[in-house]
Amino acid sequence: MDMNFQIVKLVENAKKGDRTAMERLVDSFHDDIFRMVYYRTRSQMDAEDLTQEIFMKMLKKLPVLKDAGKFKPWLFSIALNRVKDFHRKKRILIFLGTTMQIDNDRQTPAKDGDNPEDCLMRKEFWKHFHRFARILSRREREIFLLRFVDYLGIREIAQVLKKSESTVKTHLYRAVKKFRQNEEFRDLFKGEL
Amino acid sequence: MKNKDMHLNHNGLIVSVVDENDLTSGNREHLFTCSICKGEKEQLEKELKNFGLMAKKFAPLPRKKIILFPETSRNSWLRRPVYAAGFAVALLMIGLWWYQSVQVPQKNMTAELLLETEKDRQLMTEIFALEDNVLPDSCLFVSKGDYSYLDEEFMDFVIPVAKIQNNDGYFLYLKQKSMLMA
Ligand SMILES: [Zn+2]
Repeated sequence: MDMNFQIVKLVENAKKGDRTAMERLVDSFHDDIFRMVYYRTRSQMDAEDLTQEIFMKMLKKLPVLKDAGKFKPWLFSIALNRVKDFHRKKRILIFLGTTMQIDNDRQTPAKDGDNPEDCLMRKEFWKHFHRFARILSRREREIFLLRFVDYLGIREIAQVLKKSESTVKTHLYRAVKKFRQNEEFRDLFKGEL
Repeated sequence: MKNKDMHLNHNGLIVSVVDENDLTSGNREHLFTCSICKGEKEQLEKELKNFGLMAKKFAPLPRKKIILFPETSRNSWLRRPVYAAGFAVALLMIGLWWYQSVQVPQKNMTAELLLETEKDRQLMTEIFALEDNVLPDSCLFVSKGDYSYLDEEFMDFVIPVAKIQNNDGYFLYLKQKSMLMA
């Protein structure tokens, strides 16, 4: 059975209150949403907590989702809003001096079986990732990540951001242009993985 | 030179990566036939794909499972806030009752014991005081002082006492005493 069709069936059943369907939906998107949040927070703990909240919100709002076919962009828009809210609150707390941006927060925990070389590569990657993300505008960054690390299509991104497809493409075009001009960053991805 | 015979420029290449359908028909036609432009496009696409793969590779996996339906909403009556609050109050009441019935008497018993010990101590002090001062307090001022120099001989001289051998002798002694006082 086609994956998208399966998801649509699960969404329809979940909307009717089928708990198993709800749990299977979560299983299908858990890793994607967790990673999506992690790329934007760079903290495993925050990503885990936010992912839990996102799925609780999904559960709460599911009855008002009109088109089951748009579940994925709908879920990603919940996630993106939650991440934005998280950063907004964090900025306020930093501004008020009640919290500090701690570098440790942005450290990536080692994966099992990581050798020192992998560890070094991982650090290098996130350093360059962060540096590149900073040369993009907020909108360019948002769209570039949704397209190339979250694997959403142009139409889906337009649905997530509630923008026209041409607007999405304009920002994506600019972001890809900056990517192509950044030789140092591109060098990381030239070989075979 | 027609558009389709020209290599894609930098912008054309990026447009082809973002959405190939947005290329002009001439560019699209060229891309279809030119291995150089196709190679450049594929290289850029590969780098972007590797970017995504590397991000995924270097991101951790979630350790926590998503809990959609916490145990609280299931059977356990104890986990419902109202019941839990009631249960807590009941526990508190039992705790208070226990405290009063066990802890407080224990405290009283200790207090009573201490009081009795203190009374005993006072009594003993009084007894020791009586042993030291047999005269009542009001007469102490008369007897105060050291009388060790008044030996037995002197006392016999002041108050001659008959040797009491028997009851008769005792009466004799009383007779003598009453004669002296008369
Ligand atoms: Zn060409």
